[in-house]
Amino acid sequence: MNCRDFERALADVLNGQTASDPEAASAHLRACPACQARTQKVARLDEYLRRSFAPTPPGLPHRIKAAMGDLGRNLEHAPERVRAASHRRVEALFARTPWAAIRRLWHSRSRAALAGLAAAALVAVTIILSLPGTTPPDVAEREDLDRKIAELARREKALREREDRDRAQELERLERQRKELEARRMELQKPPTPEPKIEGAPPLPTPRPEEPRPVPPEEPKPAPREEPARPPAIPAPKETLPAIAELEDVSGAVFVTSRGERKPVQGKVPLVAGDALEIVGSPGLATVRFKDSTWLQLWGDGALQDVVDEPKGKRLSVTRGSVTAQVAKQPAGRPLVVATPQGEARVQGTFLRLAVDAEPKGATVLEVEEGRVELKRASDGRFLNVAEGQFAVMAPGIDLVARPMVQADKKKPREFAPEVDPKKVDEAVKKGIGFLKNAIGSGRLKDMTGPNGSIRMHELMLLTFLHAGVPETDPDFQQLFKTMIETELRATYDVALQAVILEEMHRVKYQWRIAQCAQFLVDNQAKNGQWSYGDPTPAAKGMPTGDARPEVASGPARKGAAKFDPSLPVNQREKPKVVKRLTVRKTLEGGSHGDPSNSQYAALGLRACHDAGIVFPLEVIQLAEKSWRAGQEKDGGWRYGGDPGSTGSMTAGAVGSLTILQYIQNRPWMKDEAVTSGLDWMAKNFTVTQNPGRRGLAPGKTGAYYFYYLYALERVGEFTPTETIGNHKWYAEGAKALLACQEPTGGSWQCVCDEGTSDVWDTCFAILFLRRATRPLIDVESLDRFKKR
Amino acid sequence: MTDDVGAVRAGDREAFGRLIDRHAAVVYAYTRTWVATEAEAEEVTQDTFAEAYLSLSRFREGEDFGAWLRGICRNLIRNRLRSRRRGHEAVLVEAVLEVELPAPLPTLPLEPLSTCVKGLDESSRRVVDGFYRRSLSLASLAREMGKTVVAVGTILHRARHRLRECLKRNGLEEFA
Repeated sequence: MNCRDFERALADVLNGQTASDPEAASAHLRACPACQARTQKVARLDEYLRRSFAPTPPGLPHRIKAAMGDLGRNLEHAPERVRAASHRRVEALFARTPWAAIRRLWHSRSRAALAGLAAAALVAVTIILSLPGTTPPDVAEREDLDRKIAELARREKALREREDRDRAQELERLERQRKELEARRMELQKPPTPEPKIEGAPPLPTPRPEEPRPVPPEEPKPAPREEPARPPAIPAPKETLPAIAELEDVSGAVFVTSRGERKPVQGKVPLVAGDALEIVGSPGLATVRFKDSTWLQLWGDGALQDVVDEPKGKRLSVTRGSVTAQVAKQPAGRPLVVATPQGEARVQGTFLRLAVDAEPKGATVLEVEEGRVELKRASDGRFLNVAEGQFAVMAPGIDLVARPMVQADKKKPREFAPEVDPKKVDEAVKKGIGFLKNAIGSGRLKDMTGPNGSIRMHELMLLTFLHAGVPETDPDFQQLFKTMIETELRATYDVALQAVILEEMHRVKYQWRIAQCAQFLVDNQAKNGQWSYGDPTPAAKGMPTGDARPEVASGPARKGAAKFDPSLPVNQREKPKVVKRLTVRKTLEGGSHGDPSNSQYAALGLRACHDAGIVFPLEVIQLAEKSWRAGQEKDGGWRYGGDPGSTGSMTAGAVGSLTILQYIQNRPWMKDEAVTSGLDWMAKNFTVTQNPGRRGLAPGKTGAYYFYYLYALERVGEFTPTETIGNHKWYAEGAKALLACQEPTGGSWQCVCDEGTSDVWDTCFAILFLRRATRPLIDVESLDRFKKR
Repeated sequence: MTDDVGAVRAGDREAFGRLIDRHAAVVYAYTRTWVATEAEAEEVTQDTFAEAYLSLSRFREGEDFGAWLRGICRNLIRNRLRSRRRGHEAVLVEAVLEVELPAPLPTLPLEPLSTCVKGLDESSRRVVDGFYRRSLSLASLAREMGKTVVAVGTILHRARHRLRECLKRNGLEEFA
């Protein structure tokens, strides 16, 4: 080989191809200083190109951190992968010839490690010696075969990806080899007593004909007359291990390890016996659906493994993370067993939630919504029955007893501010509602269109009605609601508010529609992370409706559960617990950019969707956050495109949006510099009689978007949460100003400014402020003990 | 940079998060050259940081943290190649990794690169864009462009050569 040939070989390596004679090439490289120098340069160039062009996968640092466990806590409790990384080193050593390994260790000066290794070897030898021939030969062979099968499957896959010229031949050869081994493996698998041969999937306990089977399409059966004496054809690889469940609703970094091969998954994937599932980082979600309609949903940073569905029953291990499961009735005596490091839960048919710590000294927490679950603690083998409406904890030092789930305290009506007379507020709100109902009566609904003719007022009015205590049986309410829920999702403002309304009304019953809203919002996010007015997205239209998602539509009907009481004011009702999380993924590219007004409503919508159990792609949230950060002015505020400088309405909107986006990512927002500097701007420019910074302000004028600003201010107060901004009591001052400027006879509010505005919009905003309509971000969370861990 | 390492040693684990933020992209880009898929590159990157954390006690004060990480990363790549590729395919990559410079490439300006890429012919630009930016394999690029894998490989090889010459001319000494 000469330098020229070597150059060719090096190019192949960099191109991701196989060089024709790698041995000769590497020998040449070791001997040729000129080629060494050139290799260095070429490798540097490649690095430069990769670094300049190749995009780092979004969220990579985040996933690394997640994979390493919560660095703020204990790394000793870091997930498997971290420990595996250190073990792999040792494993790799063992995989080589022992002498090479020892030599390498010696040279790497890890003599202590070598001593350790020697000791380990000694122990291993002792153990082997003390077990007189216990390893049955076929176990060893089975393991060996498994290893070889996995290796061949991997090589096949690699080849398929590479698509070399001789790929077809090579593929065939590998496939043949693997099938031979698999046939041998199947023989070993067989129990000693011969069983009737089952073709395809094992019989299902309760087959559901309407459910599409996730099994790969069956090969056409050979006609019986064709060589009946021939042994049955060796089934294709996937059919040798039939699919026992399907993975669906996948979001985030989800990995499935199937037969030793770990790969990221998206969309629906069949699972075979023994598969493992891992979600790296939060938020992430994956649902395992068995064939009898039993489903388990794993979310956050979680892992489960050894999924099996055998005649003995279904079984799987949750090694960490939180699980919600709805388990169909299992055959008597064959419960679904969920193993955890602390013990196991045996489930006959129920609706439950389970939260699992990875380390055995941690805890498994179980909540049973429906049915009954038997727990078995690993440390002492004790059993416990946990009945409907109870929860139990398996952890060292904690008594294994079932306790009733504590219901959240019924919320007392809040006292807003001692300075404000609640009676006066009630009166003003009543008058305002009267004005709005008049507006509906006089046909003004039709006129309420936005800049591009697509925004309607139904949603803002409905939200106002909800918080003003207009009953849901009210004919105006019903008319608005019907229009809202039956028409196509068209505009960002409407859709975001619709999600807020539905989440407030009944987030489980309307989860299907909230998911459509989420799809709309995700698909309409512009490339820079903002939102504009929005366009309908086909993906939302194609999503299942309430009738098609019975498991979503019907919340758990646990006896004694706090009754959902529609007669209570909407922010005093106890929220129904989310049954099942749903995922949305981006199907459309939005425009190039949006605006901070649509974007702040989109953030409100995202928050409602999140609380209703919708899981977004992390990128959407991160991109939105990035765009808000990028839009911050030097003085700490935000502005709309045409404004000369920061304005109150945009700054309050931005601060509210950032807190939401942090909250969705489970991060504390009070330390966020953008939030604190935004709050500083608001404190410095605080006023409740004008929209600060808005152009065209003059004495006696409120400036455009004044009421819109007050509602944004209210959101900041509730989200952060704070009663004071700077040294101003925002609610007391704001309410006082609002009570003073209501139109005394008609009951409306309206901006005093040069720009045309709608008294209907403004009245809605004023009422939302007076009612403090926004739910604090921690409020909903605390009702759901597993959501935040 | 090393302050953060000190902080991690003193028990501040957040500091390690900062190190991850700072170095993840560089490690990933380096890894991506030597392993076949993005998923694999990501896995190796994750393992690099895990490994780094576990052996932080071996990091010596004053050493370049980037170079140290790169050493770990290189070992992981090598182990992976050995266990996956079995035998002869891995030898060449290993030999290349052996002679490679230990320190990561310093951050270089982007302007010369964009100038040089603009100077390439249309199909070379497409191949460079597909291979490096869109992270496509040669096979899929070939399919996309209706050419054979060998042809695309040759275009890429030549494009690299031309880029190197051009970058040299534009004053990037690293490639001289």
